[in-house]
Amino acid sequence: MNTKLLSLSSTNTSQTTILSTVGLVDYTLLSISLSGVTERLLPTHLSINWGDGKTDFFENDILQIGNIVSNIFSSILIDTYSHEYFPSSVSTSQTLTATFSLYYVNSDISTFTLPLSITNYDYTTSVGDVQLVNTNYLQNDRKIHQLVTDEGGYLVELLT
Amino acid sequence: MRFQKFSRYFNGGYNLTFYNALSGIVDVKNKNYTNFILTRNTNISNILENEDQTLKSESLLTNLNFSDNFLTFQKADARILALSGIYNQSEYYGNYNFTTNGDTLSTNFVITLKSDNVCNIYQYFDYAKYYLTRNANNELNFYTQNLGLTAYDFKYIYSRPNKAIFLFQTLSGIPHFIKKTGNFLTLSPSTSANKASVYVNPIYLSKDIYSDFDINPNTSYVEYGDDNNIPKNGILKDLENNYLLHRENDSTDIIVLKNQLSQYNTFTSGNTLLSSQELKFFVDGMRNYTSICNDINTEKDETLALNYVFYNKPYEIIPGLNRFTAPDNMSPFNRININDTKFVESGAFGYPTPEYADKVFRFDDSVSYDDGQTYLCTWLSGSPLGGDKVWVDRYYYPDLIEKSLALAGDNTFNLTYDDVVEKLVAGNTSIKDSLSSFTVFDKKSDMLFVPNGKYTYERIKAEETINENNLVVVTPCQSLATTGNNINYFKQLNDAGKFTVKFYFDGNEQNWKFRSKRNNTNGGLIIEKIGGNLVFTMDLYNPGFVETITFSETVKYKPSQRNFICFSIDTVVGQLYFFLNNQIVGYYTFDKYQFYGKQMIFGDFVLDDVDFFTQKTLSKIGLTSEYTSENLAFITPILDGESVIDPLTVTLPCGMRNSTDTVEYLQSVCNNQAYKSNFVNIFIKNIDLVDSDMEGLRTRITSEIVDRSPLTTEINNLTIP
Repeated sequence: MNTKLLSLSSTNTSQTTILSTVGLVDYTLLSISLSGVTERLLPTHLSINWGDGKTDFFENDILQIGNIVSNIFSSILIDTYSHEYFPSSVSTSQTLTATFSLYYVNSDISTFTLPLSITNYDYTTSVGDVQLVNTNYLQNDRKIHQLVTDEGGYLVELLT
Repeated sequence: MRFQKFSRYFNGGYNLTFYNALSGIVDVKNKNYTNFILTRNTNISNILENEDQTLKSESLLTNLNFSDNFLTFQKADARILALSGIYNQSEYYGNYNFTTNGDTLSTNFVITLKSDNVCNIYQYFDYAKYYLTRNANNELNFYTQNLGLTAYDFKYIYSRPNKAIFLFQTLSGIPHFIKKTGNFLTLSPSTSANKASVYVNPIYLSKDIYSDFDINPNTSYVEYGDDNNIPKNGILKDLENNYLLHRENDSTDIIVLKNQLSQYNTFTSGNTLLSSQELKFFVDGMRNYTSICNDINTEKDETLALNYVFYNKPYEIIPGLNRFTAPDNMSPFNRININDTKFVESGAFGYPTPEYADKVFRFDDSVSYDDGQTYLCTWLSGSPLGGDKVWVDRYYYPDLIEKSLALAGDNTFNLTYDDVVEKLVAGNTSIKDSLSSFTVFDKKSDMLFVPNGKYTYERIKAEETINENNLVVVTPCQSLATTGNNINYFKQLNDAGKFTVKFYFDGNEQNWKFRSKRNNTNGGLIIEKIGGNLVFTMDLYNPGFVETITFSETVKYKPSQRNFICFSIDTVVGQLYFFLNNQIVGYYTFDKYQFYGKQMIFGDFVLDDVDFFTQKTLSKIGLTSEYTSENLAFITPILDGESVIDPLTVTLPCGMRNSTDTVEYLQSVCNNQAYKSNFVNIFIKNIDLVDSDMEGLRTRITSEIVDRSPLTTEINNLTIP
């Protein structure tokens, strides 16, 4: 699994930010930090649409006194949010848009739009060599071959 | 349950599916026409798809707690409204104040939770909803919606760990938060400069807005306390396991392997460095499964063997003497001090004297001692009823004290031992010399477990011989032992100013009354069994003030089981207790010497007015003119042979070693290894179906068995009686 860390920032509470496209390669853990986002007013909550059909919602806990960092009270500006992006199963690349919406107590909303381009590894990079570890003979002359990939050590099966 | 998976699409128009469970697999083998896959060591939540586990409430009935002052709804005072010129709409006005009791109808409000962290708060009173609303003067109060006010929605910030809420409304473009000022709710500006003032004004709720559905499938280790509840620190969650996936046809079974168990299949703590985190338990990482052994030992073999490595060699310690040899390799250690082992965490038994504590002896001829003292044993100092325990070495002077007395001597080791003290003693000749005035002394243990060392571990068990420190004295004081006369022994007890009485009884339906005989004076001990209760009463009569002080306790005994009672009193120190089974159920103190020299009891003990040494209801009666410590009362049933201390499994680090675990797997019709033939007969027994259904079953089996049996298997005959 690859990893990618992005940091978001803003200067006012009703800011709409469209970030430039971030390229992810294959199976990637994307981590987002909001430590640069303004706390001029207190946020109420954070809503994340990861763009692949998954959404998350986080309340802002301002009572985590032990977690106060650099005079930031809001847990949602201190915590880091992670999501796993999987490569497309039908194409070699895909384009998604993740959206981070930060709601403030005065009803302002700061929105961060993050276009993502996820490219699949090619066969050599994602699989490499395979090693045959087992074959099951089935009825009607069918066989299931069990192979272990060099990359990632996955057991994959082929039906022949 | 579904496995986590994803697919990759490759040029050429084909794709491969990758399962998380099959990433980094340890081994894959085939046996009896089925597939076995040994996964890596991981959380099961990493290989299974997770379900949404949290639900948010749409509305909540809760009180609103402002630093232990609860918001309380009131109906508005109609006379005050009238003075304000409001005559006709008084029913639209509510009011509030604060009280310290949050459990009343008027302190419970409904919070309606809307999207985007917007909520409103109302009280349902006299068939009307009174909303907390900001009025035209920017004041907060309760009003119905009939007045046409609109500012009853609040933005909120919610702190789930604290069940606290912060409420905001925006005035003139500036957000304001609600806080309690005196007996009023006020709106204060919330700006960048004063955001710290917000979080010091939380409003605590009595309920959580969210509800968790704990469907965490990961392995947990749970420990129960003495009260059969799970203490807060008694749970270790999200433990990692290897899993054995068994695939047959289209289904996959998940077998969770025993990574947390010792080689003896018991839970115990070990010195596995991988698991030595800041945890209360040390059960994690006791095993790591490495391969599947699929050798077929016999033609009928249906057992699958799994190899695993372990890092802690277990030893089972039973009550009594246990001899064992340390592993020949204790990697990653060269040697390990007994206080660095996990014996205490595994359940070693501590006691204030080495006589009943767990003791460890090392066979070592190479150690020489000076100053005339002799090493006696290493023992676990501490109370069996809880608290810190530490392994200490006991030394004694054979010229001054016998070995048995040295064992019984009270501990002279201070649990607040500090190395600085030891250095001070060692460096000061006069202190060192003065130590020799002690007949026994303890120091923090130097005992080392070394490879191939030979050790004896002694654990408390029933007494084979009765000694004077033991409560198992079936003689009523010394008078019976010396004269055979058990009359008026109560005088000896009164002369001593302290005594202990203990016995066992069955938790049956028989009622009885155990008491010390008494004259007209209201004093003495009564233990009465009435229904399911035991009533302890000790009346101490003070003739100087012609008054009686009563100590009493009512408890429930264990029905249908054998119960243990101990009562002990010491008028010199001024203390007494009632003890039932394994705990003190009543402990009292009174003034020192207040009753010393006075009569505690006014006659010998009787059970239902019969001499209690001659009755059959109570057994293993013990009576001494000594005060018995709580610790000794606790272990008395063990010494009496009425209960047995649990066997203990302790471990010593042993490097990395291999062992084998087996999985019994009952095969279906897939194989016929018994006769090495590819023809099988199927017999179906103990089935009760009508004939038509039976025929349908026959058709179904014969038609489908072909697709589900191995290629080489032929069905010879199908018999359904």
